[in-house]
Amino acid sequence: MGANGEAVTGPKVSLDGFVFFSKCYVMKEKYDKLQCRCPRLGHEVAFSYCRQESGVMPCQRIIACWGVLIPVETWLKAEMPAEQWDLFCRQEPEDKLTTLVDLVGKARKVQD
Amino acid sequence: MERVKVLLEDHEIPRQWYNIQADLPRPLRPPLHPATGKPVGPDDLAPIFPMNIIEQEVSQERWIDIPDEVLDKYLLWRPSPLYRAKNFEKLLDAPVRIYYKHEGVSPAGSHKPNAAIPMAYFNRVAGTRRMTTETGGGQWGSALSMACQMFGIECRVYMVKVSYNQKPYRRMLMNVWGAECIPSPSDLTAAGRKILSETPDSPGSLGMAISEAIEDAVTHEDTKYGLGSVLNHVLLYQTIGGLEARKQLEKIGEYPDVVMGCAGGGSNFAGISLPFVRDKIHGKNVSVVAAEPSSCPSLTRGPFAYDFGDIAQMTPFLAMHTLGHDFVPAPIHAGGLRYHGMAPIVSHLLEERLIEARSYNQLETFEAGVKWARTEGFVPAPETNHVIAAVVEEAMRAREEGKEKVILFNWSGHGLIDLSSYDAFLSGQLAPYELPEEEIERALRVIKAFPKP
Repeated sequence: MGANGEAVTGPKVSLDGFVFFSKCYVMKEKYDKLQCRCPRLGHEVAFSYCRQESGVMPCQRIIACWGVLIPVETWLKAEMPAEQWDLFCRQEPEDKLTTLVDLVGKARKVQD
Repeated sequence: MERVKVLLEDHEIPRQWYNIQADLPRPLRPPLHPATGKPVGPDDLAPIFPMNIIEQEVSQERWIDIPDEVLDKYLLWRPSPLYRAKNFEKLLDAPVRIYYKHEGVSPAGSHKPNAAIPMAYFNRVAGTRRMTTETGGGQWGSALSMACQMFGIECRVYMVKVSYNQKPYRRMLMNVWGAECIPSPSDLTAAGRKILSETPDSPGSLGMAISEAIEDAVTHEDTKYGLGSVLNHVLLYQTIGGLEARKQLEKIGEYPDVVMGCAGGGSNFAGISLPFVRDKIHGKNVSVVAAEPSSCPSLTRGPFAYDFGDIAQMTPFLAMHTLGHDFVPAPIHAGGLRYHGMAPIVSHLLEERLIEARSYNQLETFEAGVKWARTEGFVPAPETNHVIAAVVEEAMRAREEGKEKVILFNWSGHGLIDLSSYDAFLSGQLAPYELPEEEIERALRVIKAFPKP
């Protein structure tokens, strides 16, 4: 009971939040099957591919590609731990030539 | 009868490629070695590219001769026709004359062989016996397979597994042209084995496939690697298209007000546009537009104040926005022209304001592509649809301004192997997810009740 005898309604907000995030699970199930054209691969891929393209991280283009179809940015923020979201946003990809040189270095180690 | 096609005779094919590095107002910044921080030098690239190609990569020569052996192969379909899209013009009902360079007439059905053929040729000259590459949907992989076959080079293509399973026809094309097409990740490389040991059912990614192709090239004798876009020498080879187009327009006394191409990695856009960018640098009044995927209206939506750190609300008031509400994560929110997959030359031209970029989402691009197919007949590759969407927008602008315009664009490939993409569009599989906006707005209202930082 509250100070004036009224019912405590605090948990209601959390309940709404819970309902929303429960829906995230449902949305995930639905989203995973949705198709979007991947400009990098050149064909359609399912959302389930984009959200794990780089192993643990989503593809860097996931927001740009999916934003027009689903509220992907909001969904990702809800789904990803804060640190991972930060990391995802802070990614600064190297230019292609630098990437190639880096890969050559790794391949040389394999050779050795 | 009005002219629809402008053709060049075989002997009119350009004999040199154009290298824009010679005309840039400011030179490109050199890429830096990730380990030393010093500019990347020829020795860093020598394990994967032959020296003749590395020289072209850094060349400042304005014109580079096309070897006769390459011209012989180009002549199988080049000079490609320049068409006037009169039926599409009628549909748009705007004061525009639309010309398109039909690159879908190549054996591989796209502009990619323009680069694959000289790449294979220069490798053969340098003594390369075998080439590797990576591919997604297979446009580049099939083009390099054909080119390697032409010059007697073995070819192994690492195809992203999800694409390998989903795009069988280009994989078959690679096999027809004698190449070996391997689904990536594979057990043929240490990089692939590592991924498979961690994730046996990995669908692969372009990053993984590149790692495998590079490792294969570095660890095998007489083997080099070929990249189908982004790098300077690839853009150089593609300029054959723009140079032909300029000659073709000259033949009919036209010059474009706007030159357009779609920009994924940049080679197709650069191919049509760089000769005209040169004109622009030298004072010509021409707009050059890169059409890229894709704009995203949701990026400007209202920010969260606080959020849950986990779905089960075990950490209900963890502040998630450590970057601040106004922070725009550039690599993610920016379009393709500013992300790492884009050619440095194209990004540089954008910085120099010599070109502009416009973004189109996949729905509007498919709408434009279907309109095109229903008026001009040819079914465009889905990538090509981006530039067709840009052409539609440009025509509408011309109508609003009441201004006549000549538009030239690169029709970079046909979509006959991409019909499943059209099917996905026409059957509504690419349509926006129903009711998400309401759902999100409701959630935002819920979170609004939480304390602010």
